[in-house]
Amino acid sequence: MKSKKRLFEGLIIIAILLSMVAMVFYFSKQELSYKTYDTSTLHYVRGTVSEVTDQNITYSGADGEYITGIQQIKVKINEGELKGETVDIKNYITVQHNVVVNEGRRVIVCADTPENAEPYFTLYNYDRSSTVWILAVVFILLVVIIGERKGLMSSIGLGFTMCAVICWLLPTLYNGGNGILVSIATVVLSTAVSCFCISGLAKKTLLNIISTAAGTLSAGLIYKLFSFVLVLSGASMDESEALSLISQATGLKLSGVLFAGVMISALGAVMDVAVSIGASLSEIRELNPDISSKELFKSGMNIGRDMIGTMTNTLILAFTGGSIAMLILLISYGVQYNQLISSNYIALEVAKGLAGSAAVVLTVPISALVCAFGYNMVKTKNKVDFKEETL
Amino acid sequence: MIKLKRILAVLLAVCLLAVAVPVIAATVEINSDIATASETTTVTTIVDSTTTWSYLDDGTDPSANDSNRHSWTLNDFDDTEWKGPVAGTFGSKNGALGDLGTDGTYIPTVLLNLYIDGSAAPTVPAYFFRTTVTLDADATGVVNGTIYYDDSAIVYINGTRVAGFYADSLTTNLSYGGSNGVTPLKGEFTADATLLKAGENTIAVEVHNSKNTSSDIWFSATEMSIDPSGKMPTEKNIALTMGADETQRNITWYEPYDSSTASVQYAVKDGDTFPASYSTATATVTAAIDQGYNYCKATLTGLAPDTDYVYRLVNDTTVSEIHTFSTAETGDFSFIFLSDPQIGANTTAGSANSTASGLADAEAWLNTLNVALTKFPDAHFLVSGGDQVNNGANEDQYNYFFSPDLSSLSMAVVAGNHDAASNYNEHFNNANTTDYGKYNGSVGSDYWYVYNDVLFMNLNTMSQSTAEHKAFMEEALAQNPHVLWRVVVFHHSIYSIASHSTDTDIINRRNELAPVFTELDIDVVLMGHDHTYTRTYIMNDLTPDTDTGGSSVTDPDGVLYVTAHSATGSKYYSIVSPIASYAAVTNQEKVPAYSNIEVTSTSFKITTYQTTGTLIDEFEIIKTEANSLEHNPTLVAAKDPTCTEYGNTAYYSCDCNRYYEDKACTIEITDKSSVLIAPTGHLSATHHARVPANCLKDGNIEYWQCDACDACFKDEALSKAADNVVISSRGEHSGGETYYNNKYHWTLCEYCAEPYNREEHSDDCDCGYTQNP
Repeated sequence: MKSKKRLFEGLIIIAILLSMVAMVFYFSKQELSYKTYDTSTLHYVRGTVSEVTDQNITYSGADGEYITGIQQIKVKINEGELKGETVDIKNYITVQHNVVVNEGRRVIVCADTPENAEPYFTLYNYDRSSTVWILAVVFILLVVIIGERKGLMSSIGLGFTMCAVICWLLPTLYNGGNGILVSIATVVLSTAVSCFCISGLAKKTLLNIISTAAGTLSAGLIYKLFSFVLVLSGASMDESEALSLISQATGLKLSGVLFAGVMISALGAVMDVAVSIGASLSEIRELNPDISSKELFKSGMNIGRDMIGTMTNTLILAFTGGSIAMLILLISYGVQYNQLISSNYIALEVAKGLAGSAAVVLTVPISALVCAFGYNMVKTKNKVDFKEETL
Repeated sequence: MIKLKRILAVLLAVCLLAVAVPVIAATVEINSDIATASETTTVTTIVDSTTTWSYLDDGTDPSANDSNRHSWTLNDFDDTEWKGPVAGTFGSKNGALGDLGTDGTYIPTVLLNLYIDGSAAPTVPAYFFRTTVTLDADATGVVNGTIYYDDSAIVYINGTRVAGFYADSLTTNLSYGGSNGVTPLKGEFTADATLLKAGENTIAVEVHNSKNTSSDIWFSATEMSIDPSGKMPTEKNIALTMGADETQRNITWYEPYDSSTASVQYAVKDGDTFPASYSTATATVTAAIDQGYNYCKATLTGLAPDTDYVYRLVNDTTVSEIHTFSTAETGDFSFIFLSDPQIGANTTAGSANSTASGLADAEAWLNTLNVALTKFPDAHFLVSGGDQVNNGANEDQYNYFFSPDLSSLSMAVVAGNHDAASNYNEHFNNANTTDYGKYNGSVGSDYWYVYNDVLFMNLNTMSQSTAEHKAFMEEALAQNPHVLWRVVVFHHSIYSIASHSTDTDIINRRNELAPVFTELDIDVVLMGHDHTYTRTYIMNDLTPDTDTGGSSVTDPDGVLYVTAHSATGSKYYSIVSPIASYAAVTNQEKVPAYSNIEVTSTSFKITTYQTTGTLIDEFEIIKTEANSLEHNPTLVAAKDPTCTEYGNTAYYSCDCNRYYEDKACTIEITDKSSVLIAPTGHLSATHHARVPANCLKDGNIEYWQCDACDACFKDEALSKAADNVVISSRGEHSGGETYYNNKYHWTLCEYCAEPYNREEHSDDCDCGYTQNP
């Protein structure tokens, strides 16, 4: 029985991996029907600084924490049509383009190479691609080393969620898909895969999926309510102006973009709460198979109350932390209370942050309820029959 | 405890509702405002969805036996053999009553025969429909009609063609042709109602498949009605754009007539009637995206300065009313600079791109033009920094943009991000267009014109290729080496302070374009995009010269950047970088603004006003010496090369940084290195053997010396330069034993054994000699 279950689990994992490949393939085949501007002659290629021939730089800011000035550099291009060539670049170092290089530094060069004009080279930025990937691999290794098999499985779950968001949700929204339906589909699918990856084919998984999906959907509902009372629309975002142009061309729906953002950002925290409560209640029942649903629910609520304290902090602090630079600017602009509290910026962040937090709070009773009754639905002792577990 | 919670929960819910209700109420109010906008007119409907049509769908030509291809559209044609008459929507999807769309809107009610043999391709090329309309009296005014078709259609009233949709290739009754759209297309037309007479009238429609493998066909006529007070459309959207120089104007207009040729007749104004003698500029005529219209483009040449002109637009059948424009004096001039009217972006009057939004912005646009041209009636032309409309594919918005009559106002525009659609190309006839800076390979391009010796270079920054923009400016400057000022105009401001100033693309453009403007000695850059006025300090590369924040600057070393405010107030952006290091003067008071720019040979003065009349900013660039418009050559005499230095042939160097073969500067030496004569190298050398040095005399190493330039080398191949061939002497004798005879004493040098210090004995000498008494 157990080996059969293992086999099924293996097949599902293979199916998940294959679907990830399929989504990446789908993404690579997407053709953009609208471009905000034409960059067809621009190629961002890797290069290495072979020489800093001249520089005139000064230390600016408080305590000279950043550098401004000009560097005259030679960069050897390492890929593309110009591979092997060395180009001269005047590197202007400003606050907004703060890329100070030294000899041997790997960089990204913007090579503007139209057929009908002399090429024009500018220094775009440091080459961070390998570093980013190395950091990602280190992170996954950390997860796998400490989390062992579960760590590996949750990495696969995370990978699937990222694939679903980037390779499917984004192009679908871009091309005018229904933001609400697409977001819900993405959330439910990601939840299913993530929960499966965490706890395999088990009743717990099914219950976790139900709680998480219900919790995240409640985030969507609450957000809809909040955005209604705060009179928020797709046009309230900073990016609305640029998005509206895409919208004219592809039918992209701005409100869908907002909704998707709320759903995706709430998903993690909600899943955290749902799975934690699910796990706790599963253990409690394992230890005390005769416990009644009512008692289980009570325990779930008690566990959940402690979590509410930390989880609401998590979301609100994440919002505040991400906004510190913006808040400092707002202080410097002498923003008044009425101006700030009614600004699109605050209204959006409040709607997003509070909708997520409220969803976390709601997930506690949802999850406790689902688990309390779910675990006690089948009256077998200890081990539940495999067939009943099948999703 | 639990009770308390319940009470709290109820209270919270009540609070939420209390907030929600006024919000809902407010929303309803806004909606009702919009709903009152509609109005009623008295019209007679002659065709609607209940109208019955006779039709022919067997793939035959109804006029096959007639020399007149259109005989089937005439009133007296016998269609009794045709199918019908029947009402409904006619069509077929793959031979059945399937959905031509995706949502069930286009499922035909009357099945047309899609295939000639009834089952498989080839398809029937064309379908013919007729209906009879009986009137009590002759009609007046216009007929407004709406049909849906797939893939092309022509509409006739009593045998006269009144509308064609994708009909250019329909040269015979059985031609294939048209768009290959998936769902049926809407075709709207306005026709002369006087074609309809008292009694029986025939309305005929032919619908064609695009190709013999087409999968579907569709025809439905939703409405045709007589509007007795309606007027036939006339030409519209006249855009008089800047010509290659001040003696030319380019013109674009839209005409609603089924005409294949068009031209502009123009002459010096003489009284109120059109002069008998006039010039004619032939126009190109192309079917416009704006359905039912052709866009026509022509160039008026040979215009004299300071002259009033009249012109009229002519096609196969129609001559327009008389339009006028004036040219200005040569020399000093002024023009209006504004940007981002962005018609249709307004969201206070209605949602963006709605009719209400367009109307509100058109009103503001008219107001801004009136205010600017009333205050500065002598402005020679208008420059717009882009975003003329909010949705570049929306022809209604272009109609609003042209709703103030612009037929007398010369202007030059660039494409903004909101204009990025092929419609832009159709509306504006720009001078000296190039292959540089095209968006998606076709929309807009970099172009230049010269007006009274000032070079305007217009970049289409919808292309982010700095390489192309740079090449364009270099070519424009090469063709116009001597101008008073070099002005660049483009949309995406690289030095603004509002929402767009921190966009990734803007920061990239700033880093890339600013050094190019500095390198090419551009004087002024005029931009838009950020809907907030910003005038920079004089910028050198990316560095502001913060001493230039006053109201004028003399002989600046750098570039001035001016970003226009919104011209209509259709949209404002908030300031996000209020303390930008480059900004000298900024304004965001949410009032539309425009600039008057006065240009003389030594002054470039920008004065910016709000449409309410308030002065925002005034800045003047003064040159103590005007750029020379003539070549100013200096003879560079021929010079022979030396062993190591370049020589040159004789040439003339002009202060415009160019070389010429002749003093008149007519033959440019484009390859400046071609005047150079390479160094000859060392042709012959003399060998000098090694001479050792001694204590007093210098020696030398072995070396070879060039006979021409006296340079020395360590090797015979003259490859290793010898900076110093001398082996220095010690400079003195020293050390050694002292000797004497009876008269002298001397010392033998320790190093070379030569005697030195030879002197006669003195009374107290200590050389050891003892004089015998």
